[in-house]
Amino acid sequence: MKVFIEPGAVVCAAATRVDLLWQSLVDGTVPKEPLPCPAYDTWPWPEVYATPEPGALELGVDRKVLRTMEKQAKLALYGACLSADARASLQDKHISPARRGLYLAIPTVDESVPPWTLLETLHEESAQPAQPAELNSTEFLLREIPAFFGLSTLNSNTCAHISARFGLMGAMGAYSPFADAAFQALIDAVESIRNGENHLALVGAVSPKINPQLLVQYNYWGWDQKATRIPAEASAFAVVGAQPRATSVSGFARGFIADPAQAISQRAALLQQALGNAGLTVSDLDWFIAGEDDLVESAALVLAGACASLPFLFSEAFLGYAGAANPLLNLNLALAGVQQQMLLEGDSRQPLQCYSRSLRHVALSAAGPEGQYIVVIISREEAL
Amino acid sequence: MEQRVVVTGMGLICGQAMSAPALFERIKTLQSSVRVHPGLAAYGVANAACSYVDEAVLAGLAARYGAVASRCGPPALLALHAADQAVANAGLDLATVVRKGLFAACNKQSMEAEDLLVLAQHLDPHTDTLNLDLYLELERHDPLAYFHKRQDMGALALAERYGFDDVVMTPGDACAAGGISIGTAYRYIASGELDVALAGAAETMCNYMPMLSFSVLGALAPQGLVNPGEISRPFDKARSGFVMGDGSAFLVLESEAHARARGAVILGYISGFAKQTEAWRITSSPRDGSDYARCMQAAIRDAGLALDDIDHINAHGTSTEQNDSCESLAIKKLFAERTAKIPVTSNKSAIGHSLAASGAIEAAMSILSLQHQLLLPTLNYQEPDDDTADIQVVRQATPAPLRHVLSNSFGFGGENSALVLSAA
Repeated sequence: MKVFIEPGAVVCAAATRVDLLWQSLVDGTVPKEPLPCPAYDTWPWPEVYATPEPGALELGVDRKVLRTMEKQAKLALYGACLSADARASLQDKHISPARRGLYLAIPTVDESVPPWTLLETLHEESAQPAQPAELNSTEFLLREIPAFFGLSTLNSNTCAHISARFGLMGAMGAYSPFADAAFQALIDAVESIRNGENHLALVGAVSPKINPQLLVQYNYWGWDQKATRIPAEASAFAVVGAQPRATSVSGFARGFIADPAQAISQRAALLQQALGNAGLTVSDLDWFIAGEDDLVESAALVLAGACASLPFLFSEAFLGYAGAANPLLNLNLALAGVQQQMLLEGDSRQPLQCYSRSLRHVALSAAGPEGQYIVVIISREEAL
Repeated sequence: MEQRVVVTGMGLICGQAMSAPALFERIKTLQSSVRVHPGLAAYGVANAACSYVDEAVLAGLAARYGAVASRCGPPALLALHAADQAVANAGLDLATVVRKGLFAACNKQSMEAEDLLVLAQHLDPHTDTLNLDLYLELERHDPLAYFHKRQDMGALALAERYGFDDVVMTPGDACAAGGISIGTAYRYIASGELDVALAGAAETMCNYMPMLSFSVLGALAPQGLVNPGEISRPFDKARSGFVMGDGSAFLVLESEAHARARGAVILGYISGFAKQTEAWRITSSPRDGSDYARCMQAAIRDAGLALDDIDHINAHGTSTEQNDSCESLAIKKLFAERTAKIPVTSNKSAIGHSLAASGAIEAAMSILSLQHQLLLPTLNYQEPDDDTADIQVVRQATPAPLRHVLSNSFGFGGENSALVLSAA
């Protein structure tokens, strides 16, 4: 059974519409902001792709509800709102709410845990050893913790806001935490259409919030040494369904590559597997959008037999790294490209170019830092 | 063609039980695992009663799993223990299985109180800065504690240990995540995409920040003056909230064809599954139970069964006023006059609520109930209220002919799941 896909919305530093994001990329005007949090001394990037936090007006929710949401939930809900504006199918009264699903990729939802106020209190009290620091801190915290603190950091809470806002009451899933989670969500949404659980599903992903703990992770992974891996905040969405549309999800494959030495060969094998699922070969591909490490991805493409002229985009080099949101940002760029028959080409070594090209089949990859890897193929329908 | 999905292995750690049979025996004999956590009590947490895994047990697991302990944190340790048991129980060499998947649910973790204290010492409140450089260079304390918050550490530890190289998934659906983990694995095997799955969940929420957070939310039962083992009382009129629990459970699922081909002992079947969102409220579901009923009905339909085929319900039964009311009304709405004939139990009465892990633990208990043809009791249940009246809450371990058990898991934010488990 064929499952169709439509673009949703994007929310990122550059824009809240994919056409404006495309133009920002072409113009080289994706804005950076000063790092909004403390960092360690050797942190290399004074500016990052931070995205403003949406407010009650943009989200269409009561201010009380805002108290139950961290920034990531707000970015996700904002993307869902914009998707609903853009996609009439999400409001289609002919589709029962019980057949509208929700699949979200959400990294660790980070409020400032530990709360700054807690650290301050603990710090002050640790300077008074005669006083049992923990006791006072606990009393302080019980007074100061917002009522919904325990829920606002749960993935399910982020899902709930979107589900409640749009009446999505079908089969669902929430996935964590890295870039591959976005395509896990997409694949399970596609499967839910195929097995009849849903008639349509909103698929979304949101980035981590830029905070000190995220930077510590960058240090741990060595990402702070990678020139392209500047933190970004974003959310992005797509809609999949059984109703015929201009583009379908024609294939996918996923793997867990525990041995980095096998990364190139196994990525090549997974690309071929995904193309095989779509009834395609690598020579059918018109565009490849890489999720991570363009050097490894390029080598995998060569090993898979792709010709050297296959257009290649590594958007992270121009947009920053938005974790789970990156693959769906890329997916929206791919869908826009297929619709316009235009593409973007560029990576960490080549500047971005935009040009016209006949586009039918696009492969996109997503990778996590410990070996997670997924390839998705989308294809333009010849005639509806 | 749809494949039938069988359970061939189970592993578990929960409260004071180190295996699934041990927990089954404890609940059967009305033993609660809920105790006052001395560390949390010392920190001034008012309701420090919970079903925690002892520090000594965690230290033993840390010694057994070595570097993984430091890197992956407590939930991964519990997951490794439970998964090792499940794989051994299945008598399966996972290295020989090509089409296998890993489904390891977990919610976000919080830093331990000790980690917070160390971190606080690196704060300069005058400049409002945190000296992360010094913190990262600490020798005495493990800076990797930062990463223990990540949901997927257990999944990654298991993927490396067993060589999962295809589907590796970390469902993060709050209290429903364990059921969703097993149900999603069931779907992958039923559709033919996988032959074998290791599916379950791990959670270690009996620590400082989660206890405070859920306490502030009003979801935790106050400790009061009662015996800790009597606090969790699902469906009882005097219920006042849930108690937190630590735990992990994993099942080995296989297509029936794969299991029979290798001569595996079949412990039970996963026959049906549903997972649904509901557009209601962040902390509660429709009070009439309609969405819970819809989820249960979808799972029964997915199993190709009629309502009359369900012999027993392993309820979500958190001991909160709202959940147990909603779930009771849902059962009555769905099963109508049959409600009086369906025994219902809540394992959380004995082991508290381990959020993501609860659904996986309860699936394991359901399989054992099917194997032993024995209903497990709900501890502390004495008297219903108006909503829970007519629900047949099991009070003593009771032999019963069981073919199909419905196991519910309902999450904060309206993420619901239900599994149908069937006798071998």
